[in-house]
Amino acid sequence: MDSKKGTGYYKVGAWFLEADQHYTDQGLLDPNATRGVFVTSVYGRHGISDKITLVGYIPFTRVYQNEQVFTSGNPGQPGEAVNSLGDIDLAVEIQILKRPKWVLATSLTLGIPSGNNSGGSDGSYQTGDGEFNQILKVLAGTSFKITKHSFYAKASVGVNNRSNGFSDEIRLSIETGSQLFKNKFLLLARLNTIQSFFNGSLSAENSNGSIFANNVEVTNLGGEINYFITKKWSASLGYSVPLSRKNIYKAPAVSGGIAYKL
Amino acid sequence: MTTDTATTTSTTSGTTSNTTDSNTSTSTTGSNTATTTTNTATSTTNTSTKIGDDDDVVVTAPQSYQGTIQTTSSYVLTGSYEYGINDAGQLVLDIGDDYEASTAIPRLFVYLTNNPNSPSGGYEIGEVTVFSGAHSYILPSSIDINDYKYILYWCKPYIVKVGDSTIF
Repeated sequence: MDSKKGTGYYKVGAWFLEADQHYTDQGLLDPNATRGVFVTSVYGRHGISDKITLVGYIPFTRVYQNEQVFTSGNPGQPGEAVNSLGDIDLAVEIQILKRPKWVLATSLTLGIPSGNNSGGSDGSYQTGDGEFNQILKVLAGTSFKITKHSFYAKASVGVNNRSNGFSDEIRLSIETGSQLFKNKFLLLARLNTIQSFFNGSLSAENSNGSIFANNVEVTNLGGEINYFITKKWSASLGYSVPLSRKNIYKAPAVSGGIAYKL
Repeated sequence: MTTDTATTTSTTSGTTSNTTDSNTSTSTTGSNTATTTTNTATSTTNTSTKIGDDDDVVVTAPQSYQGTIQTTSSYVLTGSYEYGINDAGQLVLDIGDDYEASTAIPRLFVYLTNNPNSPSGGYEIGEVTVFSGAHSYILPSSIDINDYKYILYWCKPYIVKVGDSTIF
């Protein structure tokens, strides 16, 4: 958000979840055959001027379901997995205002439908949603002190204009963190929410059996610890849980990564 | 699992297909009406066969059943149906105007089964493509009306039951 020419942040990361339950369109829990999602990714942001930062996110996604064996007479089902490039995000972030204690910016993110939206034998092993996202955001950040500790906080609000009959979304994010132990650690907490406008025409009737690609609503609370190996290199470990939700798996997500700050 | 193909006929609300008309007519004018004791389905039309001149045993062969599809999950799935032989001699599952299914269910399939909890050994009618209102499935002639006891709605990717009805 605080842009400066020639600076950057680059991260190789991964996140993972596995679920045998999901939240339905009523927000209630139903069972499902255990499925997992494992995403490795490359993320980078680079300041091309003192006001403009380019951001990119390239995921490589594995969706899998283990072999199902039943003793109750239900048919078994062999395991299956799909590995492919996920949906790539490309963004440009423009700094609008900068003051000593806070900064205001806006960004436009283009969600490229580079993933597979009909993977697997039944089309339900999707690594992308098959539609072109356009997310317009306003971001604000500040820094402050509580006793001796310095903190930062940032928040964003965005609208995701989705194509191909998907419902548009509003996205909110709040994050705060502080460096501890002589700046060797950064602890942060995040609250993200996606709320659907439910204005899309897409349904199970014409969505190619998509799972949790449309009308998703979720509020995630997460925490992350970053360890600074050097001033430029850091390692992170994160954990997030869905608080309120519709059309999404009931499972925590675990994440980790190695980052380099230029 | 039987592999013959069923035909789906969709009708708009308030407009009934010929198939539905013929079955409705049969159910309201039929004689020897018997009611089953199952929770959701009612046999409405029967033909009778007397075995032997002096034998009191009468075997009834139901020509149609009526019932209600009910959800067994957190997804909306409900609606009445009639399952029987139409005037053309075809076995038809007619879903009523009051039918409603959540469009959020991925890959929902409908089966005829003898196990209310599994499609194993049943007949796969097909993937559900109608989520509201009346529609019909014309079943192959290889299936007898009394071959299967249950209608089962099944989410294939998640391998879970979504709804059912006991036919008889």
